[in-house]
Amino acid sequence: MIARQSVWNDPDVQKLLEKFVACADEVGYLQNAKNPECELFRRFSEKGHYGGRTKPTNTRQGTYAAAPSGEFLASINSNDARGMAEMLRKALAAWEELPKERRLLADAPAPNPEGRVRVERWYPLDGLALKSYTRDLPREKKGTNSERYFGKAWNQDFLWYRKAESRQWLPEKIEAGAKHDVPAALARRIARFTFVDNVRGQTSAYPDRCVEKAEVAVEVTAVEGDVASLTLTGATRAVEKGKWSIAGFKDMNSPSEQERGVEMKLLGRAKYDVKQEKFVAFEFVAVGTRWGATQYNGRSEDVEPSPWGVVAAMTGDEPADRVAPAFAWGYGWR
Amino acid sequence: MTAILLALLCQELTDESYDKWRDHVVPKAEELRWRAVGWQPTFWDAVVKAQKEEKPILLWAMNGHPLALC
Repeated sequence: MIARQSVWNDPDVQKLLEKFVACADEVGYLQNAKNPECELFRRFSEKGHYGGRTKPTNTRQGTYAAAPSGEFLASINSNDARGMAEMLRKALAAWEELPKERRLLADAPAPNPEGRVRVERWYPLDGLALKSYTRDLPREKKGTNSERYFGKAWNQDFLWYRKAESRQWLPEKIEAGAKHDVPAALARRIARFTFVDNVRGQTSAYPDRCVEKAEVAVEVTAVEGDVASLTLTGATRAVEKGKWSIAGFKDMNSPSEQERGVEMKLLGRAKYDVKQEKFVAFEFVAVGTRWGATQYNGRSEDVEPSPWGVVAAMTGDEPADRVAPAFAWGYGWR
Repeated sequence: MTAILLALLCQELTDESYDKWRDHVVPKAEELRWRAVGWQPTFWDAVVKAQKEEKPILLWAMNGHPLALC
């Protein structure tokens, strides 16, 4: 996600954003769902940069400034900080010109209006919520065009386990030396949804049939008071073959035979408070190989096997740490 | 298959290399300055807050949530 650094790290943009309430969201949901949240988005999105567009896609992705009432102020879809700053200034000028009675909704909005069904409601407050980062590892062979452009790329996602699932990371009897295989469903969640090559851009999850290996073992190394210390070791492998596009809009109408895959080794450390029945520390590092490409993950010129890594650790307490995992829909939660 | 094996050997994960690879993958402070913006995780969260604070909303909307996998 290039914009995180090229736009939102910019001091001028950050200063201007102090005058806004900033948020991020998934545009497909906003464009299509039927509830007050999405209807409010659609009130202004057609007045923006992609209003009325149908080709190459009908996406309305980008950055919008709007009043809480749904009045459009300005918009742009750009990874350029100067362009963003200009848009924000234009939006502030439009806000100032907007009569006060048109700025706000007539009634204070309910925190969760009827019909608004969000995956975020599943946030496992009493379970295990992890944030994961992905990044390529150094290569022996350098210098491709795509590597020069994407060389500093990284991405992030989230990984959730409910309270009952968290407990399944440990052996039934928690004592030093005890060993335990994490249930397959919990290990496969990592292989299918977290170990996906999103370093340069969005990609898709692995279907369950593509997971060839997903093993995580835990050993209790010590128990001090109420806290058990654990080590994690694991390995995964997922391979998908089929026909799909790999070069964004360029080959979107001519999918071809493809293979993509990931093979990882995992090590980790964790601490579980038996009395509180929750993890108080949890981290794993995974290193391995990815290959192949998907339509929007920026690997069309980089399909050969190359090394990459994933780190997952407990999330923080900021609102932005409660974003749902990209593939939470695949957890089978209700 | 040979290429895969070679790549794996070059980047081996062991107890000794654990910290090195963790520090390589986790973004540095300068790569995380964008978090200082204080993003609300959904559009509606921002609507509720902006209505209360009487401020305009800045919405970053992408295919895939911009604060998760995008």
